[in-house]
Amino acid sequence: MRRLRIITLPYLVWMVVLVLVPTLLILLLSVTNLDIYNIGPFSFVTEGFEELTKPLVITAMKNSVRLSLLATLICFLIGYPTAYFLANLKTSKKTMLITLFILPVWSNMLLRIIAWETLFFPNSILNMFGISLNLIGTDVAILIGMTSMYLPFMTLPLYSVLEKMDHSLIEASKDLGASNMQTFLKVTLPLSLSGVVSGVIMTLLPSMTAFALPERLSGGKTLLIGNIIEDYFMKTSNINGGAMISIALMVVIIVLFMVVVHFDKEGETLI
Amino acid sequence: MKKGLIAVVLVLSVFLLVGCGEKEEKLYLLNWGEYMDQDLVIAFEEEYGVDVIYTEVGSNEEMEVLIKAGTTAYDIAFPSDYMVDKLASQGLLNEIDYDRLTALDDVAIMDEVLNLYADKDYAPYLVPYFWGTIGIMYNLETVDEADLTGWEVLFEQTDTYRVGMYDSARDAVASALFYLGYDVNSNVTSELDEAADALSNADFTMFGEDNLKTQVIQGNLDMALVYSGDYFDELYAAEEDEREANFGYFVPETTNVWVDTFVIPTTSNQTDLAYDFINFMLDEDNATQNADWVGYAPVIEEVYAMLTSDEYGYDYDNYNPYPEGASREMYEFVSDDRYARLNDILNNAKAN
Repeated sequence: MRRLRIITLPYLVWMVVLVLVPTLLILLLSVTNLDIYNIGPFSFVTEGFEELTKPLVITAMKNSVRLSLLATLICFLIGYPTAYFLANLKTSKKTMLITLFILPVWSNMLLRIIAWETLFFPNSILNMFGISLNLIGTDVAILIGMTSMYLPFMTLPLYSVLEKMDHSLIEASKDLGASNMQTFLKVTLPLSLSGVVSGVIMTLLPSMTAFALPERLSGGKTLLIGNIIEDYFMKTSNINGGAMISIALMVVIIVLFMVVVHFDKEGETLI
Repeated sequence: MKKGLIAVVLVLSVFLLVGCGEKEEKLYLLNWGEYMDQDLVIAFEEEYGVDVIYTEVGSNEEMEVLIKAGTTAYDIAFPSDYMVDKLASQGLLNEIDYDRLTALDDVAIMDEVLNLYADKDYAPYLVPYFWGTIGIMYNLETVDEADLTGWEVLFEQTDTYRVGMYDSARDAVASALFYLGYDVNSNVTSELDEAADALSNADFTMFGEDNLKTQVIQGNLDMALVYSGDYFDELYAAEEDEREANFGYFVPETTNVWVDTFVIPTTSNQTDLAYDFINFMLDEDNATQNADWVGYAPVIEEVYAMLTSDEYGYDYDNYNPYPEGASREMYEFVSDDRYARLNDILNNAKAN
């Protein structure tokens, strides 16, 4: 095993340069008055924490947590039955069906967001079929958008766990007199928990940090924390304040993950 | 057959070697999207044997971030008036040596444009590129033109009309300040508070950028705050497709007039080439072609006269950003704190 360690080197370098160093830099910026464009002496300050008490930041954080948890729940409710169905399919069409499921991910995400945007306005191509939606600016629009973007990331880990599951365990359960429902709740679901955990993480993370999606689908009227951070960095150039909010977001995500992983007793997540 | 192949390889390798010999110089440009005829950029590359690296941004503030970051040595950027002020005051721009702008021997910048910034501190740092206004684009089928009396239509009629607001703090707050009759650069707390209330109390259907114009045309919005170029873009597109425009552009009596400019950041390593490029773009024929492609109002007298002549037919209402007798105000860079306040105002209006 030790000799194999060397092949992880590229990954290690990648992670250190592109993840660890920037994260430390953001941490440093959040609690100091360091000027990133003109690096020089700096001191530790607590002004950054004031950013977190601004009503706008709190509202955006609440919106992000609420909408991303809802989107993850919806993805799970749609994704689990789908993955279960696909995993138990016994036809030659299985590969094709799974390919169809991944297919949307191959097109650019921004294009798909803009496509939803045009459909959600009252006057759209849907008028041809007598349908006129008026969803722009509603939470429903954002939830439909998030669900459609991230559903494959929920379904695939679930599918891979369910597919590998030992069917003799299910047969044994039924043999011992458990009903279908009992078998599912006591055997299938607990055995697939690791897939649930990775699915939840893969859906929660991008929806939590989304900023282009809410901007387009809410008509700019629902601010998520990603939009606020974008403003800090790209508009008002308040890098230190933006760094503080980014760190706060990371803390929220880590707490949510710890809650999720807590349910995963096997500890066999894909990540 | 084999001989032919060898010949092809030989010829190719000669080309490759030639390619190695002349190391092309690079000119770095930092511009807005769809703001320059790329055919002219290619023509410049060919004429001068250089490589133009073209970066696009969506706002003046992004431009500032990129210039400040200094990771790319931009040779020419195209910020608006107030941003030139801010960049120059931070020592990020080189003064323009007008003696080297030989193209100006043949053409003249319009006096109306020169007068806009003649007395400003930042005047020595810029060469004007295009100019325009902000105004209200509206759907002709759903808006009663009698209602278009001034800025109040954006704020007082959001129950009757579906109104789109520009998702840009400076412009959104400017429209509110004009509506309230205050100076567009006001930094008086009570006046900004009133502007914040006006924006928060109005029930805007959406906040957007260049998607606003599309929604006005499709009938999902009745009117929206836009830049003059947003409207003219769509007008030309409609003319090209030979469809009747179902939208108009209303410029209230007092509005903002802006000038976008060529500037040379201090990061530039190719100052000579930068002057060559500016001269190339100021050349009468090139400037005419560019203005015809971009659609905003040109700043060169000869080009403006040419485009508004019968040959080009640009003599539209409101094509001239600053007609005689109109009232126009320019943005000024006041302070970072004020700009942060403007962003708070807009974000609060959006969250309402």
